[in-house]
Amino acid sequence: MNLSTFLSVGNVSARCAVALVSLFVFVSAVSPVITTAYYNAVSVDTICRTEDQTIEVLLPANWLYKEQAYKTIGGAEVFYLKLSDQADQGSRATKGGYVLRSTASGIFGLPSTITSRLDPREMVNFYLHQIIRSSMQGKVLSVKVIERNGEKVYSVEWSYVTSLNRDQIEFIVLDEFIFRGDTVYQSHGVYASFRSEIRNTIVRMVQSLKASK
Amino acid sequence: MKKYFNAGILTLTVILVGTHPSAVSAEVYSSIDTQKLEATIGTDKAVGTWTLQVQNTGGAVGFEDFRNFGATGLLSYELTKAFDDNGPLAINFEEGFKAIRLRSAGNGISNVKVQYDIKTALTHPIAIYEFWVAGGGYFNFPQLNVSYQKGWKVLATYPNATITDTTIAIKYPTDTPYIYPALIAFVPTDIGPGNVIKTVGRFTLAGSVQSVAKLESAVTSMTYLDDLFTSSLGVPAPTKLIIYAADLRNADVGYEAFALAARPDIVLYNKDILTNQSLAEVQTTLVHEIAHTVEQDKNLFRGAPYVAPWFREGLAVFMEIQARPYIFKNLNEQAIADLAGHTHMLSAAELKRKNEKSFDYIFEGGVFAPLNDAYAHAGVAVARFAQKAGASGMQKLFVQLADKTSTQLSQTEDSSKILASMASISGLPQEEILFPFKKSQNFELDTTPFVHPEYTGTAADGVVDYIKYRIPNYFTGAMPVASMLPLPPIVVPAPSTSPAFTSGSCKITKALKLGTKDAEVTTLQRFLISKGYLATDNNSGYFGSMTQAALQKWQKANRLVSNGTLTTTGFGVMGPKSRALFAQQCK
Repeated sequence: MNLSTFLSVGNVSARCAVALVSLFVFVSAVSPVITTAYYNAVSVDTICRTEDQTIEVLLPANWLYKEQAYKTIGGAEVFYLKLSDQADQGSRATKGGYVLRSTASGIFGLPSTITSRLDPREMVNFYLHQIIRSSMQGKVLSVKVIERNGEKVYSVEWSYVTSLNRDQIEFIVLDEFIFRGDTVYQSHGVYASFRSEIRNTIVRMVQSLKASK
Repeated sequence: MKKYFNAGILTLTVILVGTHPSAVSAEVYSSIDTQKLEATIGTDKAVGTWTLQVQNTGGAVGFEDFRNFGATGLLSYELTKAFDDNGPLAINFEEGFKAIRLRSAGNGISNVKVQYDIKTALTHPIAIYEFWVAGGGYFNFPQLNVSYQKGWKVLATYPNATITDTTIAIKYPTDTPYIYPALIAFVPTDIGPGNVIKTVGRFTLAGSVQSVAKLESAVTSMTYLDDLFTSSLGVPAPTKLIIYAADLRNADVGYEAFALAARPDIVLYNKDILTNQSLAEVQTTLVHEIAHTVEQDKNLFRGAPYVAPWFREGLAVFMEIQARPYIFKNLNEQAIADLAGHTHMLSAAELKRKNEKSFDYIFEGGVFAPLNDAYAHAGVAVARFAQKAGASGMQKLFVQLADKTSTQLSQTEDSSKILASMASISGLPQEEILFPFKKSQNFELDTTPFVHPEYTGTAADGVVDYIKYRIPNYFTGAMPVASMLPLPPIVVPAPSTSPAFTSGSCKITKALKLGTKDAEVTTLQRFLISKGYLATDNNSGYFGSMTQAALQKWQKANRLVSNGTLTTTGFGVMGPKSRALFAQQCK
C-alpha cells in the first residue's frame, strides 16, 4: 500500500493519491478510513484515482469526492465518481462535477442497437439535443473535437437556467467525452455563472480525466 | 430508456400541491381557531392582512418572509407589518429575512395581525395569486376576502367563492381538516403583448401566440380524454381545464418541471419545454398533469404528496401508458418518443432490472439514479393494480385514499397501508403490485402492456434517422451554434389529407442531399409525396434516409441514375439533372 489513502465508499473502492507537492497535507488531512461523504477536504489540488487505477481526475483544493459506485442507468452499468466542493453542499450548490464510465448505451441512454449505428459525434450531438430540449433557457455555447494524448476528445460547453434555488441561476456546464472501443468516458463540470472565478478550476478538472488503456 | 440529461438535476413532469412552507410554528396550530384574510390585489402585487386569534398559549408563534410558495411555487411574501390589539410588533431580521417571534405565555399577545406584500411571477396573460392559511395546511375555518381591480375577470378560484365585480369571498369548507392554499386566477385587463387566451372545447389555453398555437394543435387531438379517464379511472376528465404556458424559471418546486398541476384544474406548462416538444409529447405531458388534477379533485392523501409520491406519480404515468394508443400514430413516432424523447416508459429488460432492486417509494432519485426510472416503475406498479382491479377497483381505492391523514395511510416510508388497500381490492399480493410479474416464466409476454417494445427494424431505423438527420447538428459549423437556438420543434405532422402540390412550390435552386435541412427539402418531399415515392407526413424539411430512398426511386424510374453513390454518380442527390427534370415534372 502506498501513501495514498484507501477509501471505501459503497461498492467501489478507490484511492485518492495526492500530488507530490502536497503529500504531507494530504496524509495529515484525510482520515484513513472513510465511509461517508463528510470528511475533511484537502487544501490543495490532488489527483483522485480509482482503486483499479483505471481513472484519474483532478480533485480541486477543498473539494471532496463524495460518492462512487456502479449504478444501472437505463439498463447499462455505469461507474461514476462524484466531485463537489466541501463548502458548497446541498440544493444551493454552485459547482460540482463527476466522471462516468460506461458503454455508449449507458452514457447516452440509448439501446446498444441504436448506439452501434451512431458515430461519436452523433452521440454527443444527441446528448446536447436532449439537454437543450429538456432544460430551461438551454444554450450550446461551444462544441469542438480536440486531440489529447493521441486520442479524440469531444468537448462541449452549454448553459441552462435552473429554478431549484430561490433565485434563477444560470449554470455553465463543460463536458468531455472520450470514446475508447466499447467504453465511453465522460468528464463533467458545472458552475454557476455568477461564480466565474471558479471557471478555471472547473476547466482544469474536466480536462484532467485520464483513463488507462 | 433515455435519461433527460446529466446536468446534476433531472427534468421531470411533476406535481406539487400544498407544500408551502408554513410561516407559523407548529406549537400554536390549535390556538389559531379562526383567521381572516383581507387582501387587495393591484397590478403588480397584492397586499394581504391576516388576522389571527393567537392567544397566550405558552407556545411560540412566528411569521417571516417566504418565497416560492404554494401549488405553483411562484409567489413571494414579504412581511411588512405586524401588530396586535396592543399596537405594533417588532419585526427583526433573521438570517436575512424579516421575522417576528411571539413567545411565552402571559405576554398579552392577542388578535395578531400580519401584513404581507405578495408578488407572483404569473402576471400575464393570466395572473395567479395564492393565499396561505396560517397554521400550514391544517386550518380552522378561515375566511378570505379579496378585493381586485375593476375590469379584471376572475377565471377560477379554489375553493369556490362568491364573486362580484371587485370582490371575492372564500369561506373554506369545514368537512375536511386539510385543504390547499386558496388560489385565484384572473384575466387582467391587459394580457400583455404577444399573448393570447383561447378557449378550445374544455380547454382554456393561455400564453404566447406560439405557445397557444402549439397547445391548440395538441388538445384538438385529445378527443379521447373522457374515454381514457372513464375506462381507466372510472371518472371522466375534468370538464374545464386551464392550460397556461408560463415561464417557470422562478418555480421552486423541488424539481425542474415540465408542467405542474394546481387546483382548480390548472396546468402550468413550462413554455421552454413546450416549445421543443413534439405534439405527441405535449399530449403525453397533458395526460399526466390532467391525471394529477383528478387526484386533487379526489383529495387523495388530503393533498399531501409527501405521503406517497410513488402512487401519485405512478397514477399519472399509468394514465400516460393508457393514452399511448390514442397518442401515437405509428411505431416510429412512438420509438422516437420512448428512446429519444419525453415519456416515462421502461423496456421489458429495464423493468426486469428494476424489479431486482428495492422500490423507490419516496423518489429519492439523484443524478445517477434517474427519477425518470422511478416514475416509470411506479407507473407500472399502478398499471398492474389497474389491470387486475379495473376502473371500479380504482374508484374503490380513491374512496379509501381520500381525506386520510398520513398516519392513517402510511406510518413508514413503505406505504404499507396504501399497498394493503391495493392488495385487498385487486387480490394481488403487495409484492406483485410493486414488482409486476417478477417471478413469471413469461415475463416479456406478461409485461407487454406496461413497457415499450425493444425497437428493431424500421422503428430502430427511424430513431437512428432522427438522431442523424432530424436534430440540429452542433458540429457542422454551417452556422454559429448560438444562432441555432431556439431549436425547431420536432415536427409531428397532423394526419395527412392528401397533400396538395401546387405549381407555386416548384423551386429548387441548389443541390439537396442527405443531412440537408432547408425549405427546398420540403418542396422536394412534397413533390415526392405527390408522386407516391414518399409516404405522406414526411415533408419535415430534413433530408433523411427516407427522403434519399424516395429520391433514388424517382431517379431510377426516370432513368436519371440507378446506382452508385452520392459522390460518384449523384444517386440520391438532388443535383443539376435531377433539378432540371423536377422543374419539368413539377409544372
